[in-house]
Amino acid sequence: MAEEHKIIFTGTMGAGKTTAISAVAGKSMLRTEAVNTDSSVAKATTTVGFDYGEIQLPNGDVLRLYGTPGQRRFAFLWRIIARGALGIVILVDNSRPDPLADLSLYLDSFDDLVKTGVVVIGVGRSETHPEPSLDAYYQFLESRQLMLPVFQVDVREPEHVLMMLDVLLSMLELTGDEGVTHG
Amino acid sequence: MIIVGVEMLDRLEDLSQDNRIAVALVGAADRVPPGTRTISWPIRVEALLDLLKQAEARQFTSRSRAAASDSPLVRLAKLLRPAGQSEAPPGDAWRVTGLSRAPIYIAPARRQFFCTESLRSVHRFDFRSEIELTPLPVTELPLAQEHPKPIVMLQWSIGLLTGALGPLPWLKTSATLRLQRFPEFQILHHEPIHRRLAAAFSRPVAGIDAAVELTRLDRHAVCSFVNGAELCGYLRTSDPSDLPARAPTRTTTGSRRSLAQLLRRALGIEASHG
Repeated sequence: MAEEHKIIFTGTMGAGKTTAISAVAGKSMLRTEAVNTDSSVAKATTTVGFDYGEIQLPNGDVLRLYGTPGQRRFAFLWRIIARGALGIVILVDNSRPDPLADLSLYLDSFDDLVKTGVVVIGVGRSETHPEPSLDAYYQFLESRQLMLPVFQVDVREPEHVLMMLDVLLSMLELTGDEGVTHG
Repeated sequence: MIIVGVEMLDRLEDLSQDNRIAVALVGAADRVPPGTRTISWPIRVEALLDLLKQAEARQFTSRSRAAASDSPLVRLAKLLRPAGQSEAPPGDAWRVTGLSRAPIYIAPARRQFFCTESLRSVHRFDFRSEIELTPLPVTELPLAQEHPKPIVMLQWSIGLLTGALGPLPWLKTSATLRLQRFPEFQILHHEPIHRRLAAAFSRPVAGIDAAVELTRLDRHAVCSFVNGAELCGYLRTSDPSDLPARAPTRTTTGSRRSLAQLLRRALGIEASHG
C-alpha cells in the first residue's frame, strides 16, 4: 500500500518557505497566498493557509512538502501540519530584528520534531546581514544542548534547497529518533 | 582480533589496546552501549569477513601512520591546524609549491590564504607527490594581486587529501568523535558522502572504525572527512565514556536508509552516497 511522507518548511514570514518548496516541487505546488497587510514585512503577498507541494515516488509513495504560514497567529496550525512529519527545515531571516529569538520560537513550537534530531536550519539574507554569525547560531544551539546543521542559504537557488534536504535525509537515516544533543 | 561475550563488555576498551580489535558477541535481546563494536550471534560469514577486513586495514594504517607523520602533506596540515593549535610561529607566512600549478601563500595568523588558481587543482594532487613549504615574512605575501580567501577552504581541502594517509597523527582513532558544527558546504568543495558523514558525526561516534560501520563508507572517505573537520576546527574529540545512552538498531537504520534513498531519487539529489 502506498505511503505518505511529509517534510515541513517553517520560519518567519518572508523567510522563503514558499520559494523553497517551489524550488523542488515546481508546478505541483499549491499556494494559499493573500495580500500582505503587515507593513513591517516588505512583501506583496503572504501565505495564509499553507503551501503544499507533492512529489510522486517511484514506488507509488508520495512525498508531501508543507510550508507553514509564518505569522505567529497561525501557530495552532503548526502542530497539526507537523504531525507525522519525517523532518523539518527551519528558515531564519537574518535581516529581522532578533533572528535567534525567531529560531527559538520554532524550536519550541516544533519540539517533538526537534527531539528527533531530523532538523536543518537555513539562514537567509546573511550576505547583507552577517550578524548573528554562524558561530552565534551554533553557540545558541549548544546553549539548548542541540547540535543541528545550520547553513547560510539563498532559497532562490534550488541547489541550496536540495543541499538542505539532502542533509535532512542523512539526519533521518543516521540519527533518526535517537536525537542529536550534545552529551 | 578478540571476540568476547557481553558479560565482558567493560573490558572491551582494555582489550582494544595494542592495535587489537575487540568485539562483543551479542544476541538479539542484548542491549549494548552505542558505538560498541559488536558481532551478532549466530555469527555470519559476511560479518566476520567485515571484521577481518577492518583488522587488516588497522594493521595497514598502523604501519602507514608512522610514515604519514613525516609526509609533507601532514607537515602542511600541522601548520593549518586551528588557531592555538597550529605549529606555525605567530606572524609567519608560508609559500607552498607543488600542491597546485601556482604557489599557494598561507597566512595562518590572519586565517587567510592566497592563490591565483581555484582549489580544484589541489583536489587532484597525488598525496605521494612532493610539496615544498617555505617560511616567508608576512610582508612578502602577494596581497596586491590576489584576493585573500578564508583559510577554512584550504584547511578542508588539505584535510580531505590527508585522508589517504589515514587519520591525522595527533588524532586518537579510538577517541569519541563528533562535530561541534557542520562544515560550511556552501563554500567548501565536497561530495554528497560528506553530507552523510556530517550527519553521522552530528552525534558522538566511537572512533573511525565505528563511523565506517555506521555509514557503510570506506575508511579512506571517513578519514578524509574527519581530517578535514579536524583541521577546520569543527571536530570535538573526547573519551569513549562520553557516548550517549542509545543508538539506532541496524534494522531501523536500514529501513531509513532505503526511505532516504527513495526520497533523494524523487527529489533529484545526486545519489552517490556510498
